[in-house]
Amino acid sequence: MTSSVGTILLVEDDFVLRAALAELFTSEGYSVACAANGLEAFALLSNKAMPKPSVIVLDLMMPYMDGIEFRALQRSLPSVSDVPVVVITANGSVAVEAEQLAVARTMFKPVNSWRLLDAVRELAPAAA
Amino acid sequence: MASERARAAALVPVDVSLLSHVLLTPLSGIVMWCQMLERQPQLPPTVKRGLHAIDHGARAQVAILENLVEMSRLHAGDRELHRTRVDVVAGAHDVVAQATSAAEPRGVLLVFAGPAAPCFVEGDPARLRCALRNVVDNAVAASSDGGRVEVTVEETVNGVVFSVADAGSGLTPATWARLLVLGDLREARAARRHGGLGLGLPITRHLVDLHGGTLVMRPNTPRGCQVVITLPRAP
Repeated sequence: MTSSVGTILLVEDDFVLRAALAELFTSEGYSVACAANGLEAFALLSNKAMPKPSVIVLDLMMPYMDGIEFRALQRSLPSVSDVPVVVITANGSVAVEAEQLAVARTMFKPVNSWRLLDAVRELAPAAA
Repeated sequence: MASERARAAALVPVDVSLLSHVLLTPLSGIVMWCQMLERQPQLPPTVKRGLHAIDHGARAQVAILENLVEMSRLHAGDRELHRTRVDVVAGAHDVVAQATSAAEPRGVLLVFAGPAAPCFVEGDPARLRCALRNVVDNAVAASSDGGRVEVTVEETVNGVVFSVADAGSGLTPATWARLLVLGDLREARAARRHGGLGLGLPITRHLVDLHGGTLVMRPNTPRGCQVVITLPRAP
């Protein structure tokens, strides 16, 4: 493991996929903050002890607060509204709805891990 | 029995989008863990083979699931597309990478050639991926062990052309025409000789039609066939 090259906020309700993605990013030197839904992610963003994330990797269909609601909320918060978002989803129709919320990338499950890493590296060059 | 049937009839129809999400997400976890573990250096050969098998099994289930969801939409008369700009080159890269788990263990060489620049069409990204994947999966399944499958993307005056050529046993025009029709169980059984349900080509034809494209088959030289999808370029 190398030293941290930035923080990724990972928002995914499936714990198996969340663990795999966290492992992927950690192995590339990123710090990873995990949330199981939009509400948990919002709580992390509101926590002053947490560094501002370089990228948010966001699932869409989640309980309590889904990815679309979370993205709308994030865009309304001046301190984090500029953090780029990579959407990962299994649902094409919701993905198109998400694109209207100006996300940086949309990827479909099962996600190609190399393509996802490329996107994260491209969107967080200042931290790398 | 009659009351059981009545209860079943009264059940709320399954939301296929939700079903797709619920099933695809755990499969994605399996695929992602396989990708993670395959990156580990010096894996014992047995572990490598096991990971390949798990990865291939999970991806095959993803493909079956997506085709069943598409068939359900087709039966329901759902012709709605959620259109956006889709890069066919990136899509082709993805489906070739996915098909590698089925091709590699059989020594089938998957070759991709396409432009460095994107080739955009207006389309539904997830459903286009399903169409492209079906054609590549079919070519891999139809190939002999040690065979070769060539996937190309190019932009022409007629549109964006996605082509897949294999050196398998080939198809006559009559068989091709029958395979395009959903619901011919005899052909579905024949398709199962290659391990499929016989859904891939009818679903692909339906999706290509929805996108205003064309799907054709040509004989490949010296053997096998070439399946070509042409989609209108994005404005």
